[in-house]
Amino acid sequence: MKRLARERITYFLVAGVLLFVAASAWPRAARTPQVSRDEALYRQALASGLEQDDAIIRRRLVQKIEFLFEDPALTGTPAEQDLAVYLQAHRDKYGGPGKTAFSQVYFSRSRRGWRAVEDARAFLAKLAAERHPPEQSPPEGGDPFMFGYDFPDESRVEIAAQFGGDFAAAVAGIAPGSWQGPVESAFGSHLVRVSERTEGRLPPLDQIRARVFADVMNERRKAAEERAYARIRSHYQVVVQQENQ
Amino acid sequence: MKASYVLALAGIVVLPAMSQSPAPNPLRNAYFGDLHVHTSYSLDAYTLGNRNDPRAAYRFGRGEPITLPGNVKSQLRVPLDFMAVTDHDIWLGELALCTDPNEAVYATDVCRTIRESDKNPRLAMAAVLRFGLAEAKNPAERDASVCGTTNPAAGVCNDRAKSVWHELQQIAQEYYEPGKFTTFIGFEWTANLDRIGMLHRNVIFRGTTVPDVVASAVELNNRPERLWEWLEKTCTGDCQALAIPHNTNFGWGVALDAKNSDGTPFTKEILQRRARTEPLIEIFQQKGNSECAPGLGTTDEQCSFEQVFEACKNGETAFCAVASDYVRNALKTGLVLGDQFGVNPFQYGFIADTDTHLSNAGQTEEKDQPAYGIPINDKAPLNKAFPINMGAFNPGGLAGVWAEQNTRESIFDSLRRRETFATSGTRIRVRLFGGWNYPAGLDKRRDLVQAGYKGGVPMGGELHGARGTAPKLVVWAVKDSNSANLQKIQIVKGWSKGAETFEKVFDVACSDGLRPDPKSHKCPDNGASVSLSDCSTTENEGAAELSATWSDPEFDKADRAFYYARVLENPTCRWSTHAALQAKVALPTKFPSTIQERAWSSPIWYTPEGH
Repeated sequence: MKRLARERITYFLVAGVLLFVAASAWPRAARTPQVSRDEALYRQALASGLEQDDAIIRRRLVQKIEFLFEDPALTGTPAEQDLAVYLQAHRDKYGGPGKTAFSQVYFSRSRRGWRAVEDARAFLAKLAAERHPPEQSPPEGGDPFMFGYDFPDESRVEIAAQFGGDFAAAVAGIAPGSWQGPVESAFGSHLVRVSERTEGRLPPLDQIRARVFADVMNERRKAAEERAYARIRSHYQVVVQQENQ
Repeated sequence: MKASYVLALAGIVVLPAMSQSPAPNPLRNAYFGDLHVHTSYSLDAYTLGNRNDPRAAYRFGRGEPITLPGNVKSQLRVPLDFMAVTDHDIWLGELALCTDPNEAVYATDVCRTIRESDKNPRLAMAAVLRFGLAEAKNPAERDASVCGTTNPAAGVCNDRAKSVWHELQQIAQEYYEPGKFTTFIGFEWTANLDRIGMLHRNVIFRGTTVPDVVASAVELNNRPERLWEWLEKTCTGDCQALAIPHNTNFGWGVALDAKNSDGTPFTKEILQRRARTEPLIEIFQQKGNSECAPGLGTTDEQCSFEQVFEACKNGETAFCAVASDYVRNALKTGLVLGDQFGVNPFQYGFIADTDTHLSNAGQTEEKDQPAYGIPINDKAPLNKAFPINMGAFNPGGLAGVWAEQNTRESIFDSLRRRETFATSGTRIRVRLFGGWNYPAGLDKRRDLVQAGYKGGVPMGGELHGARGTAPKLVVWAVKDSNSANLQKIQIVKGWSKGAETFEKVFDVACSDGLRPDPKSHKCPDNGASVSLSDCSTTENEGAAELSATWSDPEFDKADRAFYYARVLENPTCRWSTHAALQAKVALPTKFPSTIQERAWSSPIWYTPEGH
């Protein structure tokens, strides 16, 4: 839109320059008849009300006035400070969802059938019996899992996309610290250890500058249009006539 | 998916760090995307009533809701990892001019018809076809009433297309979030044949260095050979591009024929250019399945999946299926051409996309197809304008890649080396490795991915010169946790002996403890079923994951061959069944009520010594 707006200005400028050059270059005598002819016809057309109910003229005028709405707020680039303030004011929009860091050991239902749950329980019991420090990778156990073992930074949606919604809900209820489970997924049984959980975090401006910039410009444009419309609207009174009265 | 396999195995303490951009995973993650998305910047999409622009499409792809025609609010259940808006190159200028009140052509009848397509969709579609007919002429022409000239290389349409192309680049850049959501700069190079035949390609760029102007299909006279040449000349230095042919089922026998698009014979130079530019093909999308078609060079019963056309009869080549248009046949032909020319122009890896014209990138679920735009009743205006029953179309598929991380560079490089897979819309993940010395039962081992890379090649790779016996293929597939269980994994083999080609399908992993029959190489039926009254499925059949370590029992080290994996889900309801149940009308009889969603891995090729 910005590009289009800029282009529009260029077109107008170019058109304006051309008209000016033409006007000064043509001999007055030669251009008078044409100019006066157009003007005469134009005035007669207005007098006859030909501009009314014409969709093209209407659209053209709306568009011209919209162009005038584009106030100075839009021509400047938002200052760094403006972007930062906007980002803070819209934490909900940019702040990512809460993230969970977890590790899991997988017991495949395809391989172990319904033994998968029991095998998972037995492995959990073994970790407890051996007093395995939870922050260390567990001894080898379980089955290969295509998506890996350690999930350092997953939102609930991301967990659900990979493991299924029930699993994501169960993980959301696990307190960080020790190995827990078994938790059932679409694939089988898992032992899960949540190591860290963080609330939705606001990314630094540098990482999402383009997005914030686009949103600020869009908001300014909308606000400018609204301001201009409100100004114009204040001069009008809308009267709704009811047909039956 | 941010696996740290290596660390865990080495027994190192893993302290997960919360970082914005996860570290690259040398064993590669699966990412899902859609590299074929039309927005209101495509003339045909616009006349279908789509007013969601490229920004809306990217917002949708990354998981935000948008409002589709018919005032339907829609959102992806799972956001995409990567995508490209690929609007039609040939109408970029025309559409921008026709919708800009500052332009003189704004007031013309043709532009008004396009803008007011909601009032008369048939007239609007006719306007699009009118452009299309001029563009499909030989030599191709632009519509002079809008562009001011019929010359495809000049005029206001070209000028305007350039500024829209710049805008599209800017938008892709705005929405790129490395590590989280990758956008690619791209466009659809829309070469048309007579009678809406399609030689279309999506052109995808690796970075921000791209040609300043798009040489549209009109300008290049609908010749893909000229597209490859143009890319080679224009996209140099930091510019890297791929062209990805798609829905070749609309190729009217030209798309993957063993000669140039103008009928002249192949030359080595042209084939080399083709092979360099086009490592991938879009095997599946909303306009149907292009893998293979029943009876056309195959007896594979799974080829009837999502077919739009029946086999051509009586020398017809339009609106019917021609053998050479189908990918598996092209792969077989490619083996012979490889022998003949020393270069295989059809060495394609696979992806699938949607080709949506509603800006709803990646929205492939059969259920709740919102305002799908493709009515199942025959009287809809679109069906009349287009001599196809659009109910044969489908919601489209997804592109899968195995990449170190979710960035332009990493994903583009996966596309380039063909470490890709296609799905019919669900998120089945499949890995395939081929090598000479893999141990038996590697598929059951924890280190299968490390060993897979170390001792061989991943999908898309090549094996050369037999070491005695057949190579081993290791295949591993995991279901979409939001879709049905897996039924089986198949390996599709194609091979050549001299100029003759062959194919065979082997079931290599069956669900439910079943085993492939040693003679027919087929899994027994696992008994999974679907209720057509509410689309519920039986829960007990099928597997969450399947795997196999397999070697070809009929391997001949003298034959060129390719192998790709096809993974089938248990049957589920087709979109048309969901739609009919929702509308409480009888199930359509023209289409199957159920489908088996599937994934296709890119092939691994074997080339004998001395070839």
